Amino acid sequence: MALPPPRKNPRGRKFFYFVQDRSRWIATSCEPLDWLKHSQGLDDALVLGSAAAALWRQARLTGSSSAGRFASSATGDSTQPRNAGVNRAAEQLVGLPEDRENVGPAPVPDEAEGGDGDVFLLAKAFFDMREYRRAAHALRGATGKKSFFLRCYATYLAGEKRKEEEIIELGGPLGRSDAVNPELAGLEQELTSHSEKGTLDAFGNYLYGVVLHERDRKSEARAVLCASVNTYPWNWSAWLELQALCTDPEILPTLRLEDHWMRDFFIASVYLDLQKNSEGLACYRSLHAMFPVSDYVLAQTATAHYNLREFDEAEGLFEELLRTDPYRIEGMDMYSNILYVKECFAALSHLAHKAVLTDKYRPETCCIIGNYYSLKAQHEKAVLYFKRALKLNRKYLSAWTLMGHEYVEMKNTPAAIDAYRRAVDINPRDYRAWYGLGQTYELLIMPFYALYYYRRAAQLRPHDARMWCAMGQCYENEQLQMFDAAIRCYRRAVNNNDREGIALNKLAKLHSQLGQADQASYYYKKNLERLEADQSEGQDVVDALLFLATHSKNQGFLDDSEMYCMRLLDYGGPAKEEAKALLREIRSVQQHASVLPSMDLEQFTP
Amino acid sequence: MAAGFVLTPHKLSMCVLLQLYAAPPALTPPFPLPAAVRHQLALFLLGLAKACDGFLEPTLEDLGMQLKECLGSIGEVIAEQLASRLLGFSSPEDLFTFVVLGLRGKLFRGGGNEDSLLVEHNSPLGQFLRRCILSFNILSFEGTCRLLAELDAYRRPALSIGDGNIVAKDSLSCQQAEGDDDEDEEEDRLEDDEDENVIASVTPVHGRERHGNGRRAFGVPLIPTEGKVNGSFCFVKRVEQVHYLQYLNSIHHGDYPAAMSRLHQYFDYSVGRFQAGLLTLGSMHAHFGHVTQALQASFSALRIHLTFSMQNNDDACLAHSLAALCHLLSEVGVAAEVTKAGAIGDFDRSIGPQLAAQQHLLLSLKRCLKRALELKLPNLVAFSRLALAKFDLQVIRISGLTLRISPYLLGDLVHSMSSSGSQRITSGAFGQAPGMPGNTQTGRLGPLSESLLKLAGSSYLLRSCSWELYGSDPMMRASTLVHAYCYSKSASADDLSVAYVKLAHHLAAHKGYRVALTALEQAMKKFPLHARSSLRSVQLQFIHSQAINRGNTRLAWVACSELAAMASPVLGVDMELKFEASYRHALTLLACKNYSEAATSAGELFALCYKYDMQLHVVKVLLLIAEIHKKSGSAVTGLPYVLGSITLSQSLNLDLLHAASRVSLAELWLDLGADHAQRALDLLQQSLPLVLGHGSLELRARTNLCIARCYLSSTDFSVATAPELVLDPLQLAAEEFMNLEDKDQASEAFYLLATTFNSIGRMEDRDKAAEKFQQCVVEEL
Repeated sequence: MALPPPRKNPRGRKFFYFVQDRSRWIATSCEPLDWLKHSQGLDDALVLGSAAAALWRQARLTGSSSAGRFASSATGDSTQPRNAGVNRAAEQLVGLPEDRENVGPAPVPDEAEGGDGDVFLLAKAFFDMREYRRAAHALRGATGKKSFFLRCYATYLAGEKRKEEEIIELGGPLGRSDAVNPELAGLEQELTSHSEKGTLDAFGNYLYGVVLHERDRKSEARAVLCASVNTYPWNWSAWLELQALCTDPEILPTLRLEDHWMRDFFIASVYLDLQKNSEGLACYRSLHAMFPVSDYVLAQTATAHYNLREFDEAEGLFEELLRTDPYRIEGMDMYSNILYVKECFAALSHLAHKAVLTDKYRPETCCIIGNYYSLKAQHEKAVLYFKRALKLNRKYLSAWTLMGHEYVEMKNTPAAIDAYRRAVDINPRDYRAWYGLGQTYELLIMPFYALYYYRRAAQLRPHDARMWCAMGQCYENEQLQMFDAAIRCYRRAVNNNDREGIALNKLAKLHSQLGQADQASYYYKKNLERLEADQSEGQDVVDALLFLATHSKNQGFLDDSEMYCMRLLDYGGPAKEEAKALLREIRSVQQHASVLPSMDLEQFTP
Repeated sequence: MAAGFVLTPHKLSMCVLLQLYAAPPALTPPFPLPAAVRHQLALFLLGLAKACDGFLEPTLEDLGMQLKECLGSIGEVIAEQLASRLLGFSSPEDLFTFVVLGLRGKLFRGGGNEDSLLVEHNSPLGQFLRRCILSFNILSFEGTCRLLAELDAYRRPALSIGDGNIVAKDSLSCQQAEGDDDEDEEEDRLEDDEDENVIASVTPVHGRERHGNGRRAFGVPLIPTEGKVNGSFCFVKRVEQVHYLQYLNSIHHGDYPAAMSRLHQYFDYSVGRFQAGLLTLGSMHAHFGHVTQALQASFSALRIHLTFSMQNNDDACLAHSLAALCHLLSEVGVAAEVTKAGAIGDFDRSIGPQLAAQQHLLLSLKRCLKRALELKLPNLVAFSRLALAKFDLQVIRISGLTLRISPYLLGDLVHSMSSSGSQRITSGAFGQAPGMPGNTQTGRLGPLSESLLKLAGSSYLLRSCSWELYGSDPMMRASTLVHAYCYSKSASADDLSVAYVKLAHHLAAHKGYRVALTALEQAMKKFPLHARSSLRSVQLQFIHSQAINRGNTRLAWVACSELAAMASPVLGVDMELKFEASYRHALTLLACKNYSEAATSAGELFALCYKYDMQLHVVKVLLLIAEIHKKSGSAVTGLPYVLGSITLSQSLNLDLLHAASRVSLAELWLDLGADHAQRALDLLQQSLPLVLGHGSLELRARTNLCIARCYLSSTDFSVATAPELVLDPLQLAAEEFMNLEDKDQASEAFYLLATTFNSIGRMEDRDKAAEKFQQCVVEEL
């Protein structure tokens, strides 16, 4: 709760955790020399508004127990008095007369701050107290680069805070709203003038990029952010902002990024975001070699496996992650998804319990609980928890999508559409939501309308057979009856390793419907092979056998037909009777055939 | 209603105005207002109150301008008064005092001085006031703060003008809007008056689109540019409507993927309006020319009605879907191919698939008309009536075997529409459409009645079409002119370009192709969008005819093949254009003296027309075949074709074609030998009144020439006794052929003239005619 508020939950928090990850990495796997080399940069990065920033600053200033302070800053209200104490101290410091020799030794002014070190200190304290406007005001005359950045950033955050409040005032927590950050225009003007003068440092550029992004000037934002990360690569927030701007695979190669290991992290993350999961996985593997104990890399690897639907690998990795970092909540929603898919009731409930004990009011926690209830088919409760997750973070993508799923289960189609649509509007690359939208419209018997959504989903995951199957089903629908298109879709599904085996069966049936017996028999045979490999038995097997028996009989392959019929005899029901009839027919033909040659002979020999 | 009613600065300033009107301050000079001005102010306020549900509200500046326009110099004073009052609001307490004490206390209960009026509770202004007060009362403190902030933004421009330093009004929106320079001419022209009610017009546009049965989509609606739309995000309370606006905008820019995604976005957020979504999707596909998809969408829209018949039954939407479908079917023409491909599926089992697509269309149209009448949707009634009339025009039912002006056209369509006029429509069927901007102020008709006007205009176009078929050129021209003059403001560019095309045709027929081509160029400048499609095809036709007349077969070939390339490759679509192309192909072959090929191609064309039931065109083809036979020198074989065309045109009441067939017949008779000259002459004289009254230049010239030839070849006629009988028609014919640039025929006329002059001994005239003959022949060579 008392974390200095990240600008936007996912981004800000990512940064914070990453810094931690990285500091751990630095502590564990770097030479002391490297450590020193990076420490100044780390210091700068921490200014960005993480709790650790307070830790660093204050540790340097007061030399007090940094660990205790850090602990207190993470536990809510108890921080207030202590921070207030810092505030008070800083105010007193600034309140001293210019000539302070008689008061005591002056603190060494920060070399970069050009004299307004105390003011910066005061502003930073205000900033940490989340009094952004006050912080910005305190810095109004300061000229140093850090002060400038802090002032702009505080102004920006003040606007964001106001925006959030307005959203709640106007439309309730889940309502749509058009509130905008009122400070953007002014910030943009100021930052633009500085940028034209060339006086923006990496952090100034980062903020400029954020503002430009919000103002929907994407290409300029990209350029500015590239400049920022090239001058100062360790600012993960800037990378994340840049990632949010890489909505298209074609954008990535156009970015001018200097070679750096942070760039590798960025590229890997973008790959995952763009659903280029195998590429992303390869990147993370090489990063893993560089940072063997990094939890972040581990978690991302698990995510990649999850996206590739390799649930077992992902599950193993998540378990490992939990072993090393038992109180971790970040990314655990993904783990809960896996447990959901694998229907592990016990493990999921255990995970949910642990998450609640760790931090009840985290969107991820709510999402895990929602998943648990969804698995228990208590959809109302699940929706409740997803809603709570969304109250905590309105832009929590997977909660929107999962809530959509729940509404579909509850047959509340309008709500489902709304939820999915929000997910898509937050991130248009969320194929699950597109797919869900398509599914919902299909439920409403609007296959033609649903096609658009499936098409979007298939564009995002062209190698996912499920998308193609869904499209095929739409085309096949009795309203559309576009069988050619359906066949093309199913073929693509088969080519993309359709695990559920829907496509083969459908292809066979479609072809036999259209009277294309040869193709139909080809696909029936393939389907039969697949079913045999899975050792599954059911109506599909019977259908396939029956068709193949009839088809091979018609083609004159009596032996094959007999073989299929014999297999059919193992199944009960009407199919068995049909098989018997077929067999009888085959026998008679065989007898007839054995008689025929002799008759021919009789005819020709007088 | 009150739920969506939010107190805004604009409404606040209306309240101030209302106070100025009802309870004017006693002492300041212009007050108390003269009675007339007061009345005008009341009217002005009424107009504003009616428009206050609109999407975007005018700025303070605009309001001032409007006041000035409406009330003159006193308006200026009032505007100043308003601005100073607004400046007085600086804290929540000021607002409270003004709204609760000032408005409720004084206006409803009376109080002030003797000039003050009481505002009746239930009058429109009273209702407005009550809504304002109510929405102020339910505002939270944050809401009041917000209102204050908005008020600040609202009056800021007025302040900044004073010190000459124009702060960006709302830098969020305006910068972007100004940066957009890539608008085409049309928009630039519209921009000025559009600026203020960009958003205010959304709802009507939306309505129009919904009621738009696809066709309206072609008549490019007045859509603001992207920058403005994005900018308007800041103002708009109902965010979804912006998606719709963006959708319209992307349609306007021809951006298919964007339009698609915006459309889906909009309908995803507007809960439960699946049918409307499908309908709009269909109209979008139609706009982009995806006929199959459009049909699919419209059918789905109809079907979903069946699925949800119990729940939310949107009858109006259903009727519109039906209309859209009809429109598509008629646009596609004979949709038999589509049906065959199974794309349409079984639209209506009760009708059964055995019915031809046209009957299908007819049934749907009639059903649509019925529904529209039931649901009292005047727009749709007008549309279906027009469509039925069009259907009657296009498809001549064999059973009746007569062409007559469709009863749907003769019916009091226009009359009924104008009588049901704007007021009933706005209050009745479309009463829910909010925010008709400033009806009373500008004296304009509302946008909905404008769309009705458009339909009325198209009815004149249809009339002109039917007169064209009848063969009465003056009547056709009159109807077209009525459309072009009276409805040019409301008509879609499509319709207007058709009118221009018709006028150009008329020019071509009566003044020659050169004049017609220059007229067309004007039209092309006026309709840049159509310049590449419909206008271009007409231009090519003219170029072709001109080239044939001039004997420039190479150019004729080029024009003809370009024409053929313009037609859509889909079977059964663009039949008019395809017909024209192959007709001209045969003509060109004929001009090249390639008789057998010309005959084959004409025969194929005949088969095509027969297959697609294009009766009118059959007559033309028959005439063409006869012409080919005549030119090839075997008049006898041509006779049956001409006779066929005479019968057909008579039975279909195609008077002009009938006359043309008779002229052709006369020519054939004449070719058979001098014995038949008298018979030919009789035929020609019978059809002379029609030819002279309505016929085109070419027909008149041919008739005149033929008459002269009849006289000359008849045995019992001597030139010496009545030379004028021959000379007059010959001179006319020569002149007319010269107008048509048909040197070949003109030379024949001049030749005959010269010989006639020679035989009656007028040497000077003979030499002149001979000289002209020589010119013609030389030029042709």
